[in-house]
Formats: sequence, C-alpha cells, structure tokens
Amino acid sequence: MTYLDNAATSWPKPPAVLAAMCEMIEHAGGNPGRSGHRLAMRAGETVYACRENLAKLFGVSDPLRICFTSNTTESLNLAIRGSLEPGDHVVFSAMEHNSVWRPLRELERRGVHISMAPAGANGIVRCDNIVSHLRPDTKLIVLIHASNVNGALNPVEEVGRIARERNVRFLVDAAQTAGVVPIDVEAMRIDLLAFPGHKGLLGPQGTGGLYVRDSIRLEPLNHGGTGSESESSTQPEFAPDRYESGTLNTPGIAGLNEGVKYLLQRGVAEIQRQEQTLTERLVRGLAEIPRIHVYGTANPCERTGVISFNLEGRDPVLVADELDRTFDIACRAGLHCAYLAHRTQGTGQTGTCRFSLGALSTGRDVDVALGAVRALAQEGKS
Amino acid sequence: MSLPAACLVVYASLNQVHRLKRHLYQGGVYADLVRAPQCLGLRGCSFALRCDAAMVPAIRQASEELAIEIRGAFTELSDGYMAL
Repeated sequence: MTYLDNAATSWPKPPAVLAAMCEMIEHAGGNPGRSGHRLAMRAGETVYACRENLAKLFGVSDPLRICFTSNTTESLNLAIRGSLEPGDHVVFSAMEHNSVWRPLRELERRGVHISMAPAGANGIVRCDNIVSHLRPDTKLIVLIHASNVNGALNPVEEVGRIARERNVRFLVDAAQTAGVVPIDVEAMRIDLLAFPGHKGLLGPQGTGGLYVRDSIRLEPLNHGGTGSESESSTQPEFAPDRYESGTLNTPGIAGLNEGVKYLLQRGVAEIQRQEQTLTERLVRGLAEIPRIHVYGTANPCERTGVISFNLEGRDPVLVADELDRTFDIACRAGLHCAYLAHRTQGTGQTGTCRFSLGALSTGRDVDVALGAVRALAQEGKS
Repeated sequence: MSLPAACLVVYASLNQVHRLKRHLYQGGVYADLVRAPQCLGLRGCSFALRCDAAMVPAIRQASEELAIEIRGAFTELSDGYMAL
C-alpha cells in the first residue's frame, strides 16, 4: 500500500513504538501515579520520560507543563474552554479545524464573543488580519499552525509576537506540525500548544498533549482522580495533575515516547527538509496533469506535505475510492472536518481529495501517486 | 555502629517527584522514589524522595528552585517517623 493519509494518522510507525507498547503492557502494566509497587513505578518512569522528551522537542524548560490528553481535539477543548468565560473575546482564523470552530460556536451560544480573521484563497492567514480583529477585551487568539486541508503554513512566530505585546493568550493548533515543522514555544511565544501523539509524533492513536505556559491557569475539562491530594474535593492547582484526571493511556504514552525519541534523533528540521522536497515534486507533478486542480500555495516554504486536489468532473470521494481499490493508495476525500478551510479555498460544496506525506514517505510514494492520478485523468477513466 | 537514618521528603504528586529526582540526578544527587506512608498524616496519595539525611538540604534547595512545594520531611525511625 502507498500510504498518503498521514494528516489523518501517521503510518507506519517506527518499530520501537509497538515494541514499547507491548513491553509496557506485558512487563510494566501498573497505573502510574497511583500505586507504589514496582509495576506502577516503572510505568510512571516511562510516562515522565515521555514528558521530558516532548519538552525537549518543543523547547519547554519544565516537563510538568506538558499535559497528556487523548488527542488534539481534547487538548484544544481544554485550552479553549479552560481559558474563556462569558463576555470574553476570542480571535480565530478562517482555516480552523472543527475542533476549534465547534467549541467556539458552543461558547458563543453561552456569551463568548468570537471574531474570525479571513485567510487568502491559498489558506495563509496574514498577521494583520488577526491584528485588525483584536479588541481591548480579547482574551485569546487561536491559530492553526498548518492547514489539514491544503498545508498552508501560518506565521505563528509573527502572531505570537503580537499576542505577547498585547498580552493576549496565544493557542496554536499543532495537529499538522508537531514533529513535521520545528516548534519552539519560547521563540514563537506560544502560550498553549495543542498536539496529537498519533500524527507527526509517530505515536499511537489515543495520545496527545497540551503545553501550558507556567503563567497560565486553565479551568480543567475533567474533574476526578489525579493520584494526588485525594482528600481534597477540588482539582489540584499544580500541573499536570490539574488537567489529567483518570488513568492515562500508559501503553500509548510508552509508544509515543519512542516516536518522539525517533524524531529527536533524526531531527525535525531534517524531516521537514525531506518532506519539502517530496511535496514540491508532488505538487508540481499534480499541477502538470490535465484536468487536475491543486489547491494552496506552490511555495514549499509556505506549506506542509498536505495537498488537496480535484479531478475535473469527478467526485473526490469516488476518486479516493478508485485510488484505494485500483492503485492501492490510501488517502482521504471530503471536507476533512474543516469546513471553514474548504469554504476559504472555494471547495465548501465539493470537498477535495487529499494526499498527505509523512516522515516515512518516499520518492516512490510520490511516483506511484502521480502515476495513478495521471491514469485517472486520462480519457476513458473519466 | 548504627546506619545513618534515611529521610523522606514528601510531595503531593508523583509527577513532582519525578521532576525533582531528574533535576537532582543531573546535579549528581541520587534519591529513591517511594510512595509516602499514609501514617505521616499528610494529604493523601503522596510520593516521596527517600535519601540519606545529608541530601536533604540539596533536595530542599532544588524544591525551591523548581517552585515545588514540600509537604513534609521526616526521618525514618525503627518504630515510625519523626518530622525534620
């Protein structure tokens, strides 16, 4: 199979990921932070090691500011709902995923004021579009780092600088950039970073996290057992316990730790360079095929390896289906849980077919994809 | 000759103890990580660093540097614990 659906979840994973998960279940399967026996302690050591490696990856000085969640959606909900109260104002972009748009719309119904900053047709949000929507009562800016529809890479460093100057909390959705693009929360002035474990970080599904700057106190999403201050009827004040109620996905975190170690060893900058090379080839190759329309910018420095396209006259879902059945290519078609982004780029009615490269994608994957799309675009296949 | 008594420095959360343990290890100080006994009368479900008495000042300093609250510090006795 030629796997080009890394924006949904990365596949395959480095072999050490599965090995670590099995090792955890078989030999260290205690509940970390609860019991004091050796199985629980070993589990706790692995969980902490993963926090440390994530902190290293994102330039975070204190690993305890990394809170585990089950996915980016949970991280975003924690950050958004934990930051905003009725009467607050928030600015977000026209490229956001439903895991930002839906909680914001729900909060709007409860008295939070929301403003959407437009993006260009290529999906890139200009900083001055964000700034023009800021108000004295703006509490939060939410910005997707890179679009899961067309790979558009947003100027988070520039927005972070403005947010810091204006004393506005800055939340970055790094679902498509964690492990794909170098991220330094200090240099980028990011206050809250939401990320999945199962995409660019190469861990299993059911893992994710939220970085919370140490000056920030969020209202927790869940209240419950944290393995700390058990006699208290309220959540602890200290991170990460405050935001981690219930048992963690310990085998998943063990796997995630190996994914992050792989990235630290290989280097995210090197991964980005390789993906840019493959992306440039794929975008250029698709654009040369008659009847194929490619969305987003052609500049590899302004995008990731997430590429949306359509074949004139063909439903993208049927194109994806044929790519799967006839050419053994895995990709995703439709609206990608990001209607705002599709509306911005003009595909709100049709959706698109989406190829998404990953850390383990190769030149052969690109060649196979181009050959298949070329075949579909020829007469007789339409 | 009696062995030097071990000490427990107790914190609210396993996560905090891991942070401190790593920080101390990087500074050449090694302490064990244990579950704090319930009989210490501190808030429940605590974890502790177990160490020689000579390490306690370094642990206190590290706790201050990392802004992690110590819930209590004790010497292990043959029949219980004594607050430091």
